[in-house]
Amino acid sequence: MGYVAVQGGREAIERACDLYESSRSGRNSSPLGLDQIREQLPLAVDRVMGEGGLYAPDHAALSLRQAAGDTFEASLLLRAHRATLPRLAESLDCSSSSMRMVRRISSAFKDVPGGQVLGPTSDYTLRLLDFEILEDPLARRQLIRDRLFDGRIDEEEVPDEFPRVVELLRAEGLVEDVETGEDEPFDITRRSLVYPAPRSARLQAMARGETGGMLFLAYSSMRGYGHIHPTLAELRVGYVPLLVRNPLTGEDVVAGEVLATEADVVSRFSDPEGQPRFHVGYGMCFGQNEVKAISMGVLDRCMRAATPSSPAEDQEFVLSHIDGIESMGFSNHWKLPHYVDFLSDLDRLRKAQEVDRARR
Amino acid sequence: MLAGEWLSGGAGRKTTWGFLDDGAKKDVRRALLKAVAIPGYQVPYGSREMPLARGWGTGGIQITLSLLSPEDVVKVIDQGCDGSVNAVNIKKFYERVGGVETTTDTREATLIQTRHRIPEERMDAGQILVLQVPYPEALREVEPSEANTRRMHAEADYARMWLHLYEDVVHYGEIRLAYRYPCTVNGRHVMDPSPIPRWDVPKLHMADTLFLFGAGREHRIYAVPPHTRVEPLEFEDHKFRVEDFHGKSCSRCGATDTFLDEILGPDGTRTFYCSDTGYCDKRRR
Amino acid sequence: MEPLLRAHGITRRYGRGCDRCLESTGAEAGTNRCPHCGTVWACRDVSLELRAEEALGIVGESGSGKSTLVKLLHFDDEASSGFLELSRLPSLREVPELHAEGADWSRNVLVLDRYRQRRVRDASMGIVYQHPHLGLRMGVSAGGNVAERLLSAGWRSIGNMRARASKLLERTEIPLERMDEPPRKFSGGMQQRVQIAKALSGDPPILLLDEVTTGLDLSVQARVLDMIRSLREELRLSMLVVSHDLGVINLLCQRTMVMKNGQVVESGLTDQILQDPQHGYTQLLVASQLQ
Repeated sequence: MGYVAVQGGREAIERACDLYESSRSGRNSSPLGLDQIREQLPLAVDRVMGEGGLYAPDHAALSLRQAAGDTFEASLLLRAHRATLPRLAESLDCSSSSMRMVRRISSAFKDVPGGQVLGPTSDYTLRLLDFEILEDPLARRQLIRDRLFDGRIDEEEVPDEFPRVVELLRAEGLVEDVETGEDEPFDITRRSLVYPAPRSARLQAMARGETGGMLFLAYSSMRGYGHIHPTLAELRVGYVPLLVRNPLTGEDVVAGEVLATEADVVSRFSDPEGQPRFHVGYGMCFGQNEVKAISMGVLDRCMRAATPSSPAEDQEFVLSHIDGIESMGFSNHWKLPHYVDFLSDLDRLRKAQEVDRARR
Repeated sequence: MLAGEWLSGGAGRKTTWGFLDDGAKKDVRRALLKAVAIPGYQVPYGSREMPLARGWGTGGIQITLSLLSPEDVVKVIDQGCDGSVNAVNIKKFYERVGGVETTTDTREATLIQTRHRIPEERMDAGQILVLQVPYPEALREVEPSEANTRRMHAEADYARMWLHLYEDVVHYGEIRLAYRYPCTVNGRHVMDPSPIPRWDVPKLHMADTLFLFGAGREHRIYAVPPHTRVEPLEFEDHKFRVEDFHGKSCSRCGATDTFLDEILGPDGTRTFYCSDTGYCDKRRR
Repeated sequence: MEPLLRAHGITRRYGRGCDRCLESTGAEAGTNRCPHCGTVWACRDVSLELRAEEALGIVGESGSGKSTLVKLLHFDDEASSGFLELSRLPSLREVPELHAEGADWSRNVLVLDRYRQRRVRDASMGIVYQHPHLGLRMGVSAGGNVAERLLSAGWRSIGNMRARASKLLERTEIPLERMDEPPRKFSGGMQQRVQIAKALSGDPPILLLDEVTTGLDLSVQARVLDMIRSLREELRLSMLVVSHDLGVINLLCQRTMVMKNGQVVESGLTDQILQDPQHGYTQLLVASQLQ
């Protein structure tokens, strides 16, 4: 019988879910531990936390495992979980100058106060597939630890604070002051965006934006569809303390710290009316995700163009398309049945063909 | 233990009844009240992420969840069908987070959530129909920018939409819009009725039922309250027409007054069945 | 002739303005941009009156504010301050609460909400821009372009709209077999004529012309100007003609205003201005163009 959808649907769907679960959990390999994901795929965990808009490394690791490594799906799991959580408190403003630094570089100067701190990065590795890793990973881990720590503890004092390069430039009057004109930041998790969107909303939307989508737009601007030739005044990765005010005592307490990447982008002056000063763009996101922070800095600058002349400068265009959860969901929804609309389309086409035949 | 374990049926933790936290439900209900007060106007609201992908009914689900009470009897359909993949999935979700009773009978349901169809049986004043909406903006067809379409609605500036239809008639002798057919609501706002076929559009007009529209991905809610004028855009000399099923009938229940799905057989033959499966079942009983 | 439209103190500025703007900008200062605060005074304190069946010319070089003025009158741009009033035109009867009981002049239409402004505009004005892409939808058929204003004014019969569009396109010498083609495929002169047909679609008493022949070949210019002149008589139009070309003004307009750096420096009968210009700037214009 051709009419099976009503009876067979539920059962088929449940078995499809089982099949996915079964193929995801592997055949003979040992199950993936959350600690393994968190420690050995930290950049994936960071990316999911950022795009999911929830700083929770354990949950992010769980979602990555459940989503079989798909960062779009993993971010969705995280964000949907977030929707069930009540908001208990709001953190206080924090300055990233008190960041516990892991990595900090400036490409604008050879050296900067506080120094260049390379930190963990694959920037300087040769991208050769390393088959030796397969042979004895534990011995290799030990070897690298020895190399890193042997006799080098306390060799150099790490400063408590690293002044932001862009602030040094600002003190000299070389970069613009960005007026936001906002008393309270816009909350994109509670309100729908309105255009033109205030800067706080733009930055929030980008902080949750999908890395690839933002890179694509920022890249288009750097490459020529736009005018942004960025200089990275500073890129920082480190732990930012999260301050919360105790509602009873009124005391500010550190509730924890959040690993974040921050990028300050400066670009050449272009305002013939105002004072000649560098323009700035700011990017910040959860975890270590340097491509995203830089893209965000570039886009922040792009979207302040008075009259948009390229896609990356049009804030409605950028902000309504960078959310990975929205764009992934909608692209996938075309897999849902559309036979009613399609039939309606067929009806219009047949009618138009009739008219066309009659006209000829 | 991880707070998210309830998702995979883990021990211990329970989520809020109805999934969304109370603050979020209140937000949605506030938007609904505003939507009912201004028929056809798209109310922006802080859309929450649901455990379903965007575009899979998250707007409709947020409305249903914020209206749901334990006494409700819920029906969920997709393309008119109670057994469609997405409908089954959403129904399972409601059973799980609300423990509510579900049905396939339009007359028994207090809340019906639907994608792309309005049930064939006339609904009454005690019922609510929640429609899932992919594109809340009827003017998107002619204008890509949200800032501009909002201005156009504010000024009731609909000439470009009308011009679009005029051009269709001139070039094709027919208006090509097949579904998502734009309608004027209460003589004021032009509204996208969601991707229902033209067949269903007249059911919105002066109905006894409250229709609520949710676009989760686009963060918009709108409504057609009972007894509200809903008029498809049409010309005096080129009237709005529904899909033509002349001479066809349901091969299962024999109905000649329902929207029919067309099924292609391996030998190229076409068979027709009611798209509203609940109604078809009822007629056969 | 009785006046249809009157404006006074029309001002459009870009920027915040400062105490020294007044003395530092305008025709005397030779700039419309204040050197102290950077504010641009595109149009400053302009007053005018347009009478029934009269063509009023506005002449000046680029940057004089003449095009800005037309855009403000057509609600394409928002005035910073000023008054614009319309007499009791029969076509304005449909716009509610525009005229107070017994008043000859309307409320200040510059401060109406945009919905009402659009209704006032649809009922009273048509505009032809220098660049056809400003006035036409290049991808929409010529007939559709004419129909757009009718649709905006509430017409809902395709047959009636096509009849009206045919009549206007025929009058503006567009071959009717090309009515359903988009202006994108037309020559510059034809595009300008479709714009005229579109501007006249709602049967407006007032027509605004913004440099309509600039950029066209001389022979095409003559044909378009000739058409505008005969349409004015035939339809008894009032026209506001903006041009940098005194020849165009001379051909079409009984009265003329001369603008420089956002201000009006001289106005009067066209003949008088051309034969006996008073202001130094007008003398320069006349000397450079007519000899």
